[in-house]
Amino acid sequence: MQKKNTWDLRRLYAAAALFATLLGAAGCYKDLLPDEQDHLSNNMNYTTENFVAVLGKTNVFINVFNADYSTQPLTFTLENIRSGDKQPAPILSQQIDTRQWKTWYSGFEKTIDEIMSKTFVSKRPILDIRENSGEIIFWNVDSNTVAYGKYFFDVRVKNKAGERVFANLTLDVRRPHPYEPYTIDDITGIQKPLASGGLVKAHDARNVRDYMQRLLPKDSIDVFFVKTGTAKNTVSVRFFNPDSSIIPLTVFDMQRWDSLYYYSPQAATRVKFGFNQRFDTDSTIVTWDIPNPFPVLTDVSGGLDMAQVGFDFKRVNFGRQEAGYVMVRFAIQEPGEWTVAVKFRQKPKFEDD
Amino acid sequence: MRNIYPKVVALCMIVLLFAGVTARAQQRITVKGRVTDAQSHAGIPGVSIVDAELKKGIAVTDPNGNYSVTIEMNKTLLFRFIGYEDKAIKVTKAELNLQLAPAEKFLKESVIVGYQRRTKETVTGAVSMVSHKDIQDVPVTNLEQLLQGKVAGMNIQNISGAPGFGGTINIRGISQLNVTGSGDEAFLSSSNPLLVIDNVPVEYDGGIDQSMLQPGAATGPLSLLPPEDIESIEIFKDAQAASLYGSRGANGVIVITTRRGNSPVPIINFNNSVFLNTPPQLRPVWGGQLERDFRTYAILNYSEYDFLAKLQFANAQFITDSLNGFYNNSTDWQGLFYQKTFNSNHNLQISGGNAKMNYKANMGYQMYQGVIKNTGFNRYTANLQLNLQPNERLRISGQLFAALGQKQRGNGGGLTGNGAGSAFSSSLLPGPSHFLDFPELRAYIENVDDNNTMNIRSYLSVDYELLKGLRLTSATSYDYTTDTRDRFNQAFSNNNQTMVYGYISRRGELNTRNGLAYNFTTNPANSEKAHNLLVTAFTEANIRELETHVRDLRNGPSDYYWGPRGYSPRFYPGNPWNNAGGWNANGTLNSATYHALSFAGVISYNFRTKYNVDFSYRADGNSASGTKSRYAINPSVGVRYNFTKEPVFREMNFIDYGSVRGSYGINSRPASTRVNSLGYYAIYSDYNNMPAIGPDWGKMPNPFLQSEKAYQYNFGFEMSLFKGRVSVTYDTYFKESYNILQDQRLSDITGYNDIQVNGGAIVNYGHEFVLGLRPFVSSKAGGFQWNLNFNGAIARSVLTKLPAGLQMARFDDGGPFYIDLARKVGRNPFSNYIYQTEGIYQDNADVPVDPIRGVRYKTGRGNGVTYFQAGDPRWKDVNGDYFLDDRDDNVLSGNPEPMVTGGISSTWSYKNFSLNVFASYLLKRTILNTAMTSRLMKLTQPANTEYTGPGGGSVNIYDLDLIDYWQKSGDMSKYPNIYYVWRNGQIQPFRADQTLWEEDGSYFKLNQVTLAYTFRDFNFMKRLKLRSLRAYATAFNVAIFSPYSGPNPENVSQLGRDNINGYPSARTYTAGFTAEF
Repeated sequence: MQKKNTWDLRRLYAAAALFATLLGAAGCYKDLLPDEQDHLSNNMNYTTENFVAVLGKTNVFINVFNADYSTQPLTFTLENIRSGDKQPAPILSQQIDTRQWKTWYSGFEKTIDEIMSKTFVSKRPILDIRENSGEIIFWNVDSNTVAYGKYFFDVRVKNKAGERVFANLTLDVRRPHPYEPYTIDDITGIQKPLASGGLVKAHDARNVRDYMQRLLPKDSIDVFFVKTGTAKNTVSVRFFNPDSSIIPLTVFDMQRWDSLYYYSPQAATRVKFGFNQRFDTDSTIVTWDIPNPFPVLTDVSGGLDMAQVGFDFKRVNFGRQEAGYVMVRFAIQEPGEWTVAVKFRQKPKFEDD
Repeated sequence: MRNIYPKVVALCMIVLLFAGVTARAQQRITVKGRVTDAQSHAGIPGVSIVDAELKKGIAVTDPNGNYSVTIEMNKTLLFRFIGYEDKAIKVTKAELNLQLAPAEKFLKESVIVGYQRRTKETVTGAVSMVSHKDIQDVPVTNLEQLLQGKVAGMNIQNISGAPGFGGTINIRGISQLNVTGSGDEAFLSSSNPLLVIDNVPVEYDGGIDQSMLQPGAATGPLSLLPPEDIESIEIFKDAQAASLYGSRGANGVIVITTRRGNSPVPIINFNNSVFLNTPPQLRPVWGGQLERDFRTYAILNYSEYDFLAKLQFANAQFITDSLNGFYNNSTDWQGLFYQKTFNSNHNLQISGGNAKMNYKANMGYQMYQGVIKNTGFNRYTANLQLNLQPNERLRISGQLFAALGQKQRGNGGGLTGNGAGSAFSSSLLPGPSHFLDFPELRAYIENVDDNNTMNIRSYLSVDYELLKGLRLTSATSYDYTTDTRDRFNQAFSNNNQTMVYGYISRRGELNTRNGLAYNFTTNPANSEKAHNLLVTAFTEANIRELETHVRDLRNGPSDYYWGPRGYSPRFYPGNPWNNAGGWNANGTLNSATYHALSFAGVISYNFRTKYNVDFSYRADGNSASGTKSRYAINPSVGVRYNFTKEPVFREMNFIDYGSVRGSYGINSRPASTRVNSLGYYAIYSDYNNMPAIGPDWGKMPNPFLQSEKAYQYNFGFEMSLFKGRVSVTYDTYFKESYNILQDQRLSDITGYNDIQVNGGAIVNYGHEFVLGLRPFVSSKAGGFQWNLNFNGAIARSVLTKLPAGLQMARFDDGGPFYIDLARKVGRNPFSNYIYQTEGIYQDNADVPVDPIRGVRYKTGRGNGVTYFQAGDPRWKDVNGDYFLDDRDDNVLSGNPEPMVTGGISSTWSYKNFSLNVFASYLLKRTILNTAMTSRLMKLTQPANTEYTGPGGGSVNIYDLDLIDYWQKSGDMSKYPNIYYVWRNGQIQPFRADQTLWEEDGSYFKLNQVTLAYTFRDFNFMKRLKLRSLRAYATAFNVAIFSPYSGPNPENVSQLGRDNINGYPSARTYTAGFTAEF
């Protein structure tokens, strides 16, 4: 009997041990399950694979990567940057001084210094990528640093699930645009055909008449951009008759010189046109100090931000009072003293009839 | 009644007569006395009095428990009655009064497993039981409401208070991945268990559609069953227990057994109650001047331009014309929609009989009017049962259950959207009067939405013992339901268009089961000293038919013409139940026939009831599976070791019993449909200009589609100590539902869009714990007793597989809420995939600036100007591109499944009083407070009485002082600036797809408080021939305590979304009595 009891007890202990083991195993359920892994979609892609960059300005390519709900954060790195002949192009990895923003440009800044105080200088590689979003940036360099032409690069996208390489993305570096609208073809370096941008016209014109009462359309008003110096960043506007005689600014008798604004879509506000407005002694040239680039957000806005200024006048046209204006719209990329020369193809009439 | 008593007495006399004959030689004595219940002191009728030596029944007690037998001196009488412990008494005197103690049954209770009655101690699976005592004293429209929190691991949430609708239920977590609908109407396919009512398998979802919209009557079988008729409910949670129920047992099985007659004396049981339904506390609102001031201030200060503010004022006369009596009101719209209702519940049961023949008839009626006007549910039921055992070998059992459920849905609506939250208008508008009417209110009062559900369920089983121990069983049931729904919307309430909607469905389910059962034991006298073997094999055939018709007509000529009965060509394309392509997109059930055939076998062996082993095997074929894989195989094995039957424990008297058990099994669930397994043809008119028929290119047929399956390990431990004072049950499980149907997109070279495959898998694992305590047990009658029962379950679900090796799949929610869901392997099966809100911008300077571009963080990609500013939500820019964008800034967040659920029950009884308090709880669950979303979104159109944006609905301004919103720099508030009238269109600060709305949905709910008084030994009871009388008062749905800021953390969808138009849960006060004649 005693023996049987011992045997029973042993069996019981065995059962208890099994019980304890199973109970312990119940704590390990998690180990049986797959770990949560990052998701790296097969359908990720760059929506464009050819990035056209222009020298002399900051080129930002936003909204170019579709992560297809891959697990964030993704890490993007540029690799294998090479020139058109497939040779490495280390120049594009060179760190240069770049101007970046501490706080946003509001459009209400009173001075150029105030604008500049919102920025800081930081070293970045010339061809840059935003680390987690894959946006490509080609910083502002001149053609002395980087030669125009095609470059190729790969982008490696990583998360914990793995990595993928987007190979042979093209960087198409083109000639600088000192100003916009630019009349020179940035691939060939020669002037565009006159009919398609080889000549800048006035942005708008209203009630501008010649001496035969004909309305002068905006196409008959040419605009020329002339760089006259490099001492500081300014823009001047002057007007010329077809015979290159100067039209004094006094003809724009309705011009409210103290409140010239243009609309900046990026800042979502009206921005005062230039700083420190001044005239030459015979009132033929008006000059403003400008930040570079001008408008401030022009190169990061995808060409949306352009400065615009109209010159208003009024005259009596056959006994009827008419208000008119000539309007120019442009952006200045290249630092320096720029003159915007507006030249009429027909001699405009500003006197009253 | 009267003429039954003499018969019974006569029967007793005959028995006595025979008793006398056999024992003539001895000295005989006539013994009289009364048998009473040891606890209640009520006489027990029908107690068998057995001659202990001859093992022969000699008498039974009369309705009051009195008896009289003539027997030899010094013989032993054995008193035996079901539910009580046997008592043996030696005859020494002429009067013997005795009390029978209710049986401490522990493991001797019988459980019906796989249609076989077995003692609980030999069952290897995880089974929980709910007795009729746990579900009494509350009139409810759906039995589910009473089962909440009663079973560890069975999670029931009453997602709607609408009368006659169902909630959500799942046993051991969700096992479904399909979501239909969107926003706060998104519906997760139910993981409902199989229901077996009196041996008849019944679709748990019968009549309930797999969508929030509920095109049909939406009255399920549990709404049609009166709780008073229920004897016991068994819940099978693991694979072993459920395996025998085969193809539909993958989500667990609920077996309901209704009451049976077991008293030779007919018992008439009458249960009557009246109850009051009260709406919950209404939300405080701003009316009159407060509302006008808010609207004026918002328009004046937060419009884009001043002239737009003026324009808005010009069009919002109800704001500006404050001196006009028409607009000078402070109407409490909420109060006009809700009501308190008086209702009643009656149940009559007549039962009687003995082992050879017993019968039961139960009739019930319940009137339940909802707390929203024009809603309610009336239930009429009859349940008739007859069991015959003409001889030892033959048993015949028949049952007929009939029920009619009449549901009024008022203004329509499905599982959600049937409340009134979107109908409250501006308080400035005048309330309804003789001259004025108000469309929203009238919609609730005068629109008709009548739903009738008629259910007839018949059952016949014949059981014949061919040889000793070998029984042949045949059981057939037919369950037939018709649903009708008739809606008519008055033109005035429905954009000047009448609407007629009719829905008819017929469902029939024929189930027949034929099999053999062989019972063998080496020691018939005592199974505890024997090898016991039970072998059964049966086939089960199941044919389901379904036919659904919908008619939906708009724009009739007037409110008095409820027609025409035909198509409305103008509005048919917009028919909500059909998409433009004309085929069902919203889950209206198609007409269908379904066949299933199953073969099953069980071998159950135990040695001395100590070592128990169960093997079962079941093959289920059905017509919906792919043609190449018709059958699903469900094997299972279970073991149980009742270790306290070891000799070592004999001396340890403090242990009542203890056992450990383990099981493994596979269950399946037919989920594929014919369309997905066979494909279908469509008509094209592009071959020689002739109509041509070709395959539909939407879904590639998959003939290899299998049933969804689940394997499950269960491991359990049970123990009871100190004569039942402490009892513990612990279960832990690991279950993987695999083969879950998922759509897999196909490459376009296949010609098809997608294919449905068995590609998903979910693991549910968890621990379940039940603790029963009886701190005070009184041996004296009427002594103080305290029963405390606590149960809890920790459950976790993890998605383990997606088709084609995917790691993550996003469920595009669509408008108006855009609350995307994501399924990700290794996480809980559903996560919200939304923007992460990290507070509110206190200052414009807090908004991040893109250092490269010099502009602020904004919504949307590209060069737009929707920059953030102070008072806007601070949404996380996940990929750092300074654009808030749906493509890359969503985060996985939240888990709509609760981590812990359970219940606590406590019963105190003293003398004739007993007090029961029952509470349930839930911990850690994410709720998206989309009701708050709608509420705040509607504030952004202060010039309107009707919100025109997504979600829509009338604008009623809640007490904004109760909302913690941003007003000025430095406010560490929860919500963004509510005045952003114009900015709402710009950046949508109140968008629903952000974590701002995520809240913890934990709650502690006081379900039920019942005070009962049992009348005993009163003279009037004798005069009225009352056997027992019990009066009770109950408060149901008493209170809910939660950190959740919305009205009720339970009234949310299974995906945890709170619909502003939800039907609130009513609080119910009941007074009633139960009388037994």
